[in-house]
Formats: sequence, C-alpha cells, structure tokens
Amino acid sequence: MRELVSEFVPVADEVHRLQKGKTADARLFQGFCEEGHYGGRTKPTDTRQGIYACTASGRFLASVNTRHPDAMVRMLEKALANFAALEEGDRVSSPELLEALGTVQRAEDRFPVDGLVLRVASKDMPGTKTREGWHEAASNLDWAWFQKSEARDFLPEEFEVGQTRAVPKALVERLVRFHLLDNVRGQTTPFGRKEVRIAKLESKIECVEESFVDVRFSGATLAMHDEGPWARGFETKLEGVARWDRANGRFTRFELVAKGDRWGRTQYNARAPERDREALFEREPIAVLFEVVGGPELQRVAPAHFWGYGW
Amino acid sequence: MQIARISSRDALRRHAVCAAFLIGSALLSSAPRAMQVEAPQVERLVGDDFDALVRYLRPAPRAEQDIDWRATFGAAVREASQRKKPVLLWAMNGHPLGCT
Repeated sequence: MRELVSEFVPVADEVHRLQKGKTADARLFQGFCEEGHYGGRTKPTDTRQGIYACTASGRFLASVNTRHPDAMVRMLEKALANFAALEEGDRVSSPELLEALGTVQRAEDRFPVDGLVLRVASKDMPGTKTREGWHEAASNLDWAWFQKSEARDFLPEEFEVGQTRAVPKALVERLVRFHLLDNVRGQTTPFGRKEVRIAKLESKIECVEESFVDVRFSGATLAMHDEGPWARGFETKLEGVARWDRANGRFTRFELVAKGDRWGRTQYNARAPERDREALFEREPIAVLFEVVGGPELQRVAPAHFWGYGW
Repeated sequence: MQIARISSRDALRRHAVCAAFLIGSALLSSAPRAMQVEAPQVERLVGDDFDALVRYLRPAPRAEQDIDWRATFGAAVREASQRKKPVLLWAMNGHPLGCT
C-alpha cells in the first residue's frame, strides 16, 4: 500500500468548499467528482467525500469511499493503470490552470511558521451517560494558531519566578469562541462574542533558567448560547504547563487542559435529540487538550473556524 | 488539580475511532495499532492527575500520519504537474487532518 501511495502526490482537503466553491481548485474538483463513486447522488446527502485519484489536468482516474484496504488497493492500481495509458499532455496542468491555481487563497497560506500552533483534542470524560456504540470512543481534532507576538503574550513580561500575567482577553476569547466547543461527535458552530461570559487565563512563572522559562496556567471559561434549538453551554476550568525556549522565542512544550461541562447541542454534533429535553440540557463532563506537537503529528491544517480569527 | 513538573512522558495513547481514522487505516493497513487504554483504567486515571488527563485526551498516533499529506488540493495539483505524478485526494466533510 505504501509503495502504491508513493506513486501519487497525496493531499487531504475539505470537500464542501471543493464541491460548492468557485475557485480554480474547486472547479477542477467539480469537473471530475461526478465521475466518481457518488456521482449524481443526492440522498441521504449530496456529499462527494471519499478518496479520488486524478491527473494534474483534472482528468478522473478512479475513486472509492471505503474502509477496506483491499478496495483501496484496487482503486490505486486502477488509477495508476489509467494514468499510464494517458498521453503526457493529459497528465499535467495547462499554463492557464497553473496560473489560476496560483491565485487561490487558502487559510493554510497563513500558517504561522514562527508562531504557535496547537493541536486541539476534545473528548468526553468518564461519567458521560450517553456513550453507546461509536460514541464511546469518540474524539475530535482541530488546530489553534497564534502569531509570533500572540505566542509571547502567554508569558509574563518579566522572566522572574512568581511573575504573573493575565493572558490578553482577545486571545482567551478566541479560545473560548472557536476552540472550547462540543465537537467530540461532529462539527459544531462557534460561540458569538457576546456569548462569552467568562474568559480568564493567567500564566505564572515557575522556573527560570538561562535557556528556558517554565510557566503554569490557570483559568476559567464559560460560554452560553441561550435561545433556539441550538441552545448550549460550555464551562471549564483551565490548567496547564509550558516551556518557553528563550533563544528561539517559542514554546517547546505547551499543554493546556480545559476540563468541565457541556450541555445542549448543535445541528451536527450528535448530542441528545430535541425530543429528549431533559437529557439535552443535563450537564455532562468533557475536556479539551491544547498541545504543541511536532514531526508527522504536526499538520498545516487551518483551524476549523479560522474565518473568525480576523487575520 | 495537581500539575506535575515538566518531565518525560509516557507514550500511552488512546485509540480514536472516527471516519477519518478508518479511511486512513485503509490506506495504511499495515500500520501498527495504537495501544488501547482499558476503560476501567481510564476511570481511575483521570481524576485530578494532570499528566494522566493529558494522556487520556492525547490522540493516538494515526495511521495516516505516515503519509506526507499536502494540506490543499490546489498546491498538490501544481506539484503533481511538476513531478508528472497523479494526485491522490482524500476529501471529507471537515478537513480529514483536522476537525471532521
């Protein structure tokens, strides 16, 4: 399988934008996705998610949406055979397409290379009542980005043991609105600015050495959307530790845990159904981990609600 | 909540089940499975112990991490054209390597 995959340029991307967008990359996808496994499908949804192989000219090679390795291998082999049968001119992008693709602006282009990138992992805590089937092990991922100057704002100005700093309100509100969300079982919507009731995070220096500074975080958050079918809330206590590399001006360790309760639901996050009003608004335990990662674990994927960052 | 001093950490990670993972597994069926934390152990661990809580929340290494996925389709197409290779696109509702 690995050898087969190495014959391709692999890419992971969000399908909704590709399926509905008007940019050059979206139009390229729309030009071949109807030849794939979900071509023409409208029910139960019109999604075109799956695995596709195509040429750089936009020609369809093969596709599948499967969890079975054998089916995946067959698809990859079919794609390579179809690719080999093409003339070279059909395998590459036209100059016009290359130019158009170069103009597409993506959030990923704003990846803060010299800033702080945190992997955000959410999970139900033991004690959650409604954990059956796949819900039992459900978890989700997102990414939180901070520019270089914002990363420094997590630290007290003076590097002395005992120094404290209230992390700027704008940064903590960003965490609360766009990252302290109940997406464990599926995508959800962010909180509005006025729905943030508490957003406090303080850092305190624990240790100062020539090469690094260790800090401890503590804080609290509360966000509530009070009305309508998607009424919900998310309340946490924040605790964490981090190490700041003084020479390179970046965090080499950053572990911040938000542990607390969630209630209510949104359209796609698979919580209690509307008919079960009592269960819907019962508080259940949840936690979120913000963490620095490196190597193959680090992805240049934009935060799900990047549009709200205002960058 | 007690917070341990900065120290080396265990590699114990929890296996996450989601569609993205399953498709990734299909792509790399020979990848090793992550160690699984038994439920009773989790119940015992995740009280006020910060390191245990981090271990509980930290995602298991995913099979698809062994593939150098590009993050945007357009960039991959341009690269494929230059390298004269086909594109393998993994497309999902929500970015497959992010929030799905």
